Amino acid sequence: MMARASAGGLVAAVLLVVLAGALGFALQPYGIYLLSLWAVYTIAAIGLNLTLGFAGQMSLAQAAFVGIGAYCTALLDARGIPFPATLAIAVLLTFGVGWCVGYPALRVQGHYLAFVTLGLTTLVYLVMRNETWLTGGIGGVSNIARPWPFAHNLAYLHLCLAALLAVAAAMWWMLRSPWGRAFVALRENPVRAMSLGVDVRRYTLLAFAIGAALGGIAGAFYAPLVQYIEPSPFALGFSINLLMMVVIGGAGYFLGPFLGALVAVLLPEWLRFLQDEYLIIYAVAVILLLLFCPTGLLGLAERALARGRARGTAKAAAPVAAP
Amino acid sequence: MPHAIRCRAAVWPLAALLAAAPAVLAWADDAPIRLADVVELSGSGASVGTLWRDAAHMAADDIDAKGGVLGHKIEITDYDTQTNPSISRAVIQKALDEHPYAVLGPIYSGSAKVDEPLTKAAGIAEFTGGAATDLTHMGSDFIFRTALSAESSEPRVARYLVDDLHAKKVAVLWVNDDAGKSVHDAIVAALQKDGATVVADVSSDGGQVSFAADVQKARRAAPDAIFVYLHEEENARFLKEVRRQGVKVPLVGDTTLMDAQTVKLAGADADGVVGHAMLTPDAPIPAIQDFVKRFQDRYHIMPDHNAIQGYMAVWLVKAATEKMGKPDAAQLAATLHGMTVDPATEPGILMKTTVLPNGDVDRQSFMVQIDNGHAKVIKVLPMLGS
Repeated sequence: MMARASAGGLVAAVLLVVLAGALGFALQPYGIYLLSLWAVYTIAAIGLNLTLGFAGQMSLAQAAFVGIGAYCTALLDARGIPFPATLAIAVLLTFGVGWCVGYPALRVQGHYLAFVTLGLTTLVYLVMRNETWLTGGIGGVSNIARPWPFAHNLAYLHLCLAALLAVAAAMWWMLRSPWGRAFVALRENPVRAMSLGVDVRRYTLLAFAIGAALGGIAGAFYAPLVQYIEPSPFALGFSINLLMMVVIGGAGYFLGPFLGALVAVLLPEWLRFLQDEYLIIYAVAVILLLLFCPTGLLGLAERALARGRARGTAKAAAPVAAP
Repeated sequence: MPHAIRCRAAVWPLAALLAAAPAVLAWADDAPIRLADVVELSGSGASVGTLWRDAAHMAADDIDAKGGVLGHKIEITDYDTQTNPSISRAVIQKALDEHPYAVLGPIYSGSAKVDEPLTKAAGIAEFTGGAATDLTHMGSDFIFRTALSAESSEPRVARYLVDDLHAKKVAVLWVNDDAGKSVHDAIVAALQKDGATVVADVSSDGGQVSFAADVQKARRAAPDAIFVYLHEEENARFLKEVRRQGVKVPLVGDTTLMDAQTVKLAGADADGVVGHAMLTPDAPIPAIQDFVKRFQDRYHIMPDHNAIQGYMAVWLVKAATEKMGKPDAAQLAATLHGMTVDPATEPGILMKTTVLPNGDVDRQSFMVQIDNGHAKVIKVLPMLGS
């Protein structure tokens, strides 16, 4: 199997981020906004990739964590609290909520866990919508300021990319550490992992908590990016969209979220020239991709590489004809 | 003078000329007036956005057929917000990057709120179908409504409930989205102001299937009348449940309750329902009847109030531009404020429309009753300013 958090993966991630940052200088505000959105969604998808792809815990709650992070930033910003502090609070809050969500995962797995996390998404959505005194209700929160000195579109893109780079580097380091190996062991065979001394309970809770915290970071950057939030973007549909990003990119691959978010954010925009049919074509493309490539784009690349290597080995092993 | 300096001296005026070229070319004699139509063409708002878009294109064709706006054709480019504010933020940016003359849409208030600061920063007039009360209170001089706000509509409904139906106790059922919340807040305030009491306040979800508990809750409060503001499909489910539970008190609503889709889905259960319609295809106005007929001939679907708004928005752009004497995107918003467009001089506007200083509009509206499956206008309510 291809090393799923190899040095090459980190280099590729850095190159992607640097390329996006450089591209920002050549793009109009529309393109800059899309790249910023890609960076934010990638951070959220990296979190889900840890929970689902590496630790094997099914979650449909990532939208709720992004929402909590976004509301935390928006509401605290309105009270004059600076962005670094709101970001830290969003991370701590989502880490705590994620830890609590992990408890059901100790008892249920698979589809049952998906339903538990789906319930959390619905619950958080209802709180955002109905607790008007706190969240502004369906009217949302307007005029969310971008942190100084990143108010300009291009500067904010670079801030989002810097955050993505920091998250990616931290994730890469963690995946290569004993924690990362423990997460993979949890996914592959929890009983065997336990017999080898892995604290399954603690790592299950950590998988949810760290994934949720990354969702919180994404939310903290999302709110100042769009500068207006309301409950509907953080409903179940967004959780499924994030899940799709992870699966399309390749669940359990370090680079998977980068590619998955690229497909989810940029592909529908590129297809807009097809006018009325653009979302149909996008949906068909996603269905075909998942039908023929269930391991995602990186799974496809891995298979192609393996085939290439096998052919190369076969050629080298073939007897040379006598002159 | 050294050669390099002379070259630089020549480059600056040339660069300035090139920089100004788009602005000059934009309003050249035969250059089209480009409108960006940023609406909900997919997602939960697709049905309203599609009608708005179709009507806007019909208006552009009607105007072009009569020689355009001061000789300029109208060119509309559609952008789909997917009924998602973050996507709306992207596409409004895309639209503004292409330097439109004005923006049509969005219809959902969430998307309109995201777009408003950007159109304000760009100095481009934006015509929104959004119902949220605060849209025209956010400090932008570039936002314009195409329909009456809930603040304007609901006092009329409250007056009807209190004066005509003599209702002292009213149950309010509403859908908890941006439009529903605005209507709810406005009707509750207006009822209290007129001396009526809200005895049951029941919110529901968009797409809600069963209204048994909601109707029961309203019925237990023993109201003199029930005010309801839901989406069309939910209206039909609500009406069927009301009839099933044998509720006899008058049912009063606003716009969506009298919509053709509600009447079609609810069938006989919609009979007797009364409500306020800020715009209705059933209005006894020849220009609106002509619009409805031509729309149906062209698209084979019944237009609703969103379609009428999309149509009127393009004609408002035309009227303001002709008042200025030349297409001037920078002055369009300032010209619109306080402007009254009369069908006597501009038939395409369909109804006399006044743009208020904050971007709200004022025009006549209607009390409508459903009778034997058909909406009938029972009262024409005057403009607030009349």
